[in-house]
Amino acid sequence: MSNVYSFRGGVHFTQKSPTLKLHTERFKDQIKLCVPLFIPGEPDMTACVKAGDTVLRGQEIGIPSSDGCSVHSPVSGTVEGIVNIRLPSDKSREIPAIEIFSDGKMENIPLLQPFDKKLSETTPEEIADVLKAASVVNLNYDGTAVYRKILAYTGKIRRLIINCSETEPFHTNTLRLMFERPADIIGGIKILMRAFAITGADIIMADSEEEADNSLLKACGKSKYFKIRIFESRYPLSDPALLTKAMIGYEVGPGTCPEDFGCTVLSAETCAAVYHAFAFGLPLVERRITVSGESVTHPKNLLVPFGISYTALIDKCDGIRNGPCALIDGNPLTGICISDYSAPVTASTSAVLLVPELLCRADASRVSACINCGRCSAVCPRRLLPSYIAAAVNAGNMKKAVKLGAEFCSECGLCSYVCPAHSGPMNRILQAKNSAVSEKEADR
Amino acid sequence: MIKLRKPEPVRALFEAPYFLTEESVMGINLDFIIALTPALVWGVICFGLRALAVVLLSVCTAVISETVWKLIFRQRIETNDLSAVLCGLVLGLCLPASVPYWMPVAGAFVAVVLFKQLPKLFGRGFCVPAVGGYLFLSFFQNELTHSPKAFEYLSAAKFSFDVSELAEIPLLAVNRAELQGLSVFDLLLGRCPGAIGEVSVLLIAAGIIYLIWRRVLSWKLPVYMLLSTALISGLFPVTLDRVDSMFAEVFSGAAMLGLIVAFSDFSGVPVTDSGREIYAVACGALCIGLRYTGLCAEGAFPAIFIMNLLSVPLDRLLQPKFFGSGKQQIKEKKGKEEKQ
Repeated sequence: MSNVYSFRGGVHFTQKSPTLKLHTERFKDQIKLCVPLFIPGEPDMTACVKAGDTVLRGQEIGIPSSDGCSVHSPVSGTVEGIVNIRLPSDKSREIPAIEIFSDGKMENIPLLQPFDKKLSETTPEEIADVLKAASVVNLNYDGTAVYRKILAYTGKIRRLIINCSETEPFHTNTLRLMFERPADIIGGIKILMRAFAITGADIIMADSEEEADNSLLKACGKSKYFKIRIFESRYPLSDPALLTKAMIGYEVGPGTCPEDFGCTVLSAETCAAVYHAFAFGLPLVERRITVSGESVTHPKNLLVPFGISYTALIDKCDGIRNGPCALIDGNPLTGICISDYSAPVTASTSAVLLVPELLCRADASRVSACINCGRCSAVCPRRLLPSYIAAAVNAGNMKKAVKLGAEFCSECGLCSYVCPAHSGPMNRILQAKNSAVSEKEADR
Repeated sequence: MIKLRKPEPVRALFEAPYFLTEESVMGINLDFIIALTPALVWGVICFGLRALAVVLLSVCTAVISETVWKLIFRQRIETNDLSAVLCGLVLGLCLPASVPYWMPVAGAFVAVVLFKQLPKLFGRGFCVPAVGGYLFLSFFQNELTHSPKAFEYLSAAKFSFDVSELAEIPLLAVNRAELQGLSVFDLLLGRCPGAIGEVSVLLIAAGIIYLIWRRVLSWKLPVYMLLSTALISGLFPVTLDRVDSMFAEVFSGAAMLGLIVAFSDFSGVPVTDSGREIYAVACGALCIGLRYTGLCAEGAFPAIFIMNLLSVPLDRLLQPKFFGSGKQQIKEKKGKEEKQ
């Protein structure tokens, strides 16, 4: 406990989170949802309900074409139709989505049963089966199904790293989960330890005041299985590569993943979802989302069903104030700017931020050329020199940019954040990174 | 064919991150201007209105030549980022109050056109522009090494002065062992002949402390530079007394002002941490080295210029290894794949 871990670079955001002390509210109004039949890394899905059907919470509504997870209804209500939509995260392809009108009763399907075997008698395969049936995905990270990770890496993993830190500006969803449901996280960690056949887990927390006195610490107690690792509170602490480096000393470069070095990084939300799948048999159909930012009238923490539209979230928080604003899905440094407010919220959404347009827009009067101040290279957690890479890209010299390490960029966005000229080096680096990736693919 | 680069930065209006620091280029330049203000005020107290006139001429020329340049090349005019003001201010502070009025004008013009705007057409700037302008003016050594005595006010209306009427700037390497009856204490307070901004060591130090407090500069950089200047001059003293010689070297000439000037424009400064430290140490050491060789009276500015030219090679040499590029790991990964 006395030892505080650190990493190179990063920035501590001092922005006050208005939602820190607000209890999470469950969203159960009668509203139309649009549930996309899509989980990253899973096969394409087709709908197994049709317009006019009545569905209950937890009922399967989309089944995969081959072996994989299915999509469950997040609410009880009536199916209004099946449409094709494009997700903001991937505009290139259309995916089917089911429109459900919620009846506001949140009636569970009677088939949901808690898992009744003792944990000590369970095999990893059984755990994987339960998580597959419940479609538990790796929340806050890549969003892929957790059961695939268990099947692929059981026995090869030596360290289970649970990220319970919250260093992104405005985000409070993980913190609220830690305050409100610490036992769920601990339960989930125990199940995952069993699934990966290891006897310990590292719980990552930041040393900020907000996290200093939380119920998860008390819930862990003096258990010898859980080791609390306190880190200096700096973004991007949640980066799996940085956590792996701090825990086992290996640096995860491009083309490798923490699992190659016997480490796996999961979020606290994932652990809670794993616990819910076992304790209640409930599939992953909802998550905590922080709706915050300077332009929201009443920022809130909400427990929302997947498929809810951004408009409904904004209405729940009493609308927009202070004039024009931009809607950002996720972290303000790496998130996506949403233009279509009717698009659905998915499992990859950790927060919905509404920030005044003037603040986030790098309008021409604020942008100037790089002045070589060196702040970008001082904060880069990957030890790159973003100003040099950006200069190479601006000169059209992609080869030089790749030689300068563009591929190693973790896309945390800090170089663009600290740039006093607001010249946005991260996007130049991404151009070089993407060109390197496409060139490699062309070689194959 | 030399390819001219599009000088305007390209950035989409809406692209991540949507959260930007409140710092700005203007803020950084303003911090430097604030840091240099005490030295300027003392210069005016010490040498009268003519000092103010020299600095104002330099600043105005810098701003006007930048604006005209941008009009000619159809670039966005951004005088409000204060970089031209800072460039002119630095150059003005490096000149004695007695220089003929054409010198700040010519110096600022050369600094902005040749060393600030021209390199930006082909990429980034390569040196501190004011230093470039000063080096151009050092073809006129006599004017630069002579200044009025402190509190001996010269008429601001007279265009130029004869060198024989003026006192010599106390630079040890030039005069070898004589400080013309000045004590180290005089040098510290600034009661001595010299360039407008460099006479008061204490007020320059206050400016540096302000920059460190504002986190524009890491405390290491000026401290390393000062230490290396002091160490070299202490190890190889010009006079018999080591300590006296060291203080005289550090407090005379532009050794102190150089601590701010060297970082006043980052375009010639390395970006890596270790690169910056080496830059600071080398600037200090070279300053004394150049004074001893007698090639130039004031070693600080040529030293900064030389290190500016070396900053890009230094960065490339000292570039840290990318995260996750260690050789050992790649081997281990390959070994694992073979096993599988």
